[in-house]
Amino acid sequence: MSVAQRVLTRQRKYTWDLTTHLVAREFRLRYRQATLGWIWALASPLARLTVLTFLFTRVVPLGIPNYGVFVFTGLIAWQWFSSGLMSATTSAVDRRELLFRPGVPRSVVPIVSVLTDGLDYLVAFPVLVLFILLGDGIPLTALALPVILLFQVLLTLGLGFMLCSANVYFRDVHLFVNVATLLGWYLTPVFYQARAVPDGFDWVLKINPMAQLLTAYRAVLIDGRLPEPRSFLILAAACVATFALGLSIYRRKSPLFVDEL
Amino acid sequence: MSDIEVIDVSKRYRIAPGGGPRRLRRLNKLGARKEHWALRDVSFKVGHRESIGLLGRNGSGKSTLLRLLGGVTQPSSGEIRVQRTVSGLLTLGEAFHPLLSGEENAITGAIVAGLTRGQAVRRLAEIAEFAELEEFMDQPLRTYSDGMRLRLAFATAINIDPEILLIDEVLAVGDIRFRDKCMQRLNELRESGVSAVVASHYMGQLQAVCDRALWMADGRIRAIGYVDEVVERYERAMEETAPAREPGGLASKRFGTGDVEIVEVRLVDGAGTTSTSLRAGSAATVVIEYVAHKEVPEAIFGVSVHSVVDGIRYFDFSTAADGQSTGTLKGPGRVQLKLERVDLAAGTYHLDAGVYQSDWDSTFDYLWQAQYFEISSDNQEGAIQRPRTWSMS
Repeated sequence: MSVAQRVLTRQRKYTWDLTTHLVAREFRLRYRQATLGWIWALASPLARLTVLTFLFTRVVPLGIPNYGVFVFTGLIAWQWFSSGLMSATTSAVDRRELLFRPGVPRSVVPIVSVLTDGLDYLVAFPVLVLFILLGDGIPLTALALPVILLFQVLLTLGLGFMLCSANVYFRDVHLFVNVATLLGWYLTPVFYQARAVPDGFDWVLKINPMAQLLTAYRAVLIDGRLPEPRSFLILAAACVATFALGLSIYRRKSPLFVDEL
Repeated sequence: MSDIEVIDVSKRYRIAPGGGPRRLRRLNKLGARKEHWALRDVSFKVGHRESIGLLGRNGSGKSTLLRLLGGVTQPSSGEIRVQRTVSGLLTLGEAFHPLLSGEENAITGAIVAGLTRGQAVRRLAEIAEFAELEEFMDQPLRTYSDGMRLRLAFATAINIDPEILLIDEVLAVGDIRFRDKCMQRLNELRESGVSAVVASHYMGQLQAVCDRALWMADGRIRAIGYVDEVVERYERAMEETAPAREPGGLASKRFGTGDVEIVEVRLVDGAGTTSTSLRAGSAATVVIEYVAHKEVPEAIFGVSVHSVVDGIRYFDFSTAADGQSTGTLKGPGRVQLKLERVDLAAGTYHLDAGVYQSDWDSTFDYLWQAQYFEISSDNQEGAIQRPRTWSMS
């Protein structure tokens, strides 16, 4: 192995260690002082699940079969996306001390935020599995889930990189993201079906990658079929492109972040 | 071969009119942002295994230069070439979290400073030993005193096998014994081949750990050369300007919890008038006015006198060392230290004043260079003046 290769390997190992350590630390801190600890990561999705299930099976019945599984699949994915986006947006400001450290790769900062929120998803995931098992059972297509998750991570990171860069210069951005994710919750078919959206408005869902991702999650986890290849390829390409664009903006802007922090 | 090459580097900051980041409604006034050149046309090299000191007043560009060397920001123009891995002590313990244990924080600190997880864990015992906190490592950081936190932060930062080490003022904190230990460790690192760039207000420290020194003034290099020469020139210049520039004002540098705040430090001569110039051998009283913001059952007040020229600490007195009880501090109060004779040679000196928790563990308030004063004497030689008589026979 040449010296350059060895340095590169060391660098990769270091970035990995740094990222995983910070993610684990952040997650532990989040629930540190609570007696029940990380169990609380379940509280918010379960509370929402209960309310939504009550609302849309009893109060305003939507007639969606197996509504609990349907809504929980979308709920936890959406929650990861929106909270990841929020924390990535403020990450440079929240973790400014990392940016003042020589040798710490700057891109780690928003990545840690998104991955930490991913642990909340991971905690809720077994509950989802349980629901599916109690329902129709887990279809074989569920094996495709990690691929869809990967594209969601790329999408979140890409947007997170852009919004984080913008937020360093304009602190209004995180307030905007707050409003945008609130609207997104309604404009994404988390608790309703995409096909219930009337013609003429369906473009809103078509341009919303999270809507597409939720459709894919439900296809592989509930319906037991793979997503429609053509639209999924477009979605995947959009996620990868968002990530690449976000990363390149962040790489260009982040070297001067500390001057503004 | 040089470890660091700095070529014609300038750094410009844009300062928003109201300070802080831009607001959207000010977008149309973007051009109105003021410019500030923190560095102008700076060029120098740091040789392999060389250690360079940075000196200069606050705001002269030392911290900006260190940030640029560490690569945490980029120059507006010019180029910086760094040949080896840079580690930095630009901030101390900011990545620490009060709820986590000393051990967890030390691991985070070491990883953030550049170690892989495995290396950090292997270093843990060494860090704990250096910080003298072996039996406290499993306690949460919030139970630590300020002094303990500082020791842990420093021990973590310096036990990382750096190649090029950047140090920004952080050597100025902590108790004297631990500070000496840090300096010693720094010199061990230098012997093992580490290059260093060290910013400090303490000339003695720079002389102890640096080969060369670079004097920064208003973002430019004022002088560069062997550390002793540069320090001597710097102090001669300071001696000429220091008393005039800071006429009795409180120091720009202070640190501490602020539970007890020193609001004024003044020097009163034998005749009872406040003065900043004394005759050698005359009496003087140091008066410290403080406000205790919370009730403190017992505290320690300390006063030290340093020569501006060589940084030597001539006096260092404390109520604790002299067995003086302070009683309970509450609200405003005054402490006086009477010196029967100030037997110092002619020259410029400064007073540092501090108030500490009764076990020295926490600093309520510490002021560097709280008061400058001058000693005049007919005799210009020697460091100490003593009452004397000549006789001939």
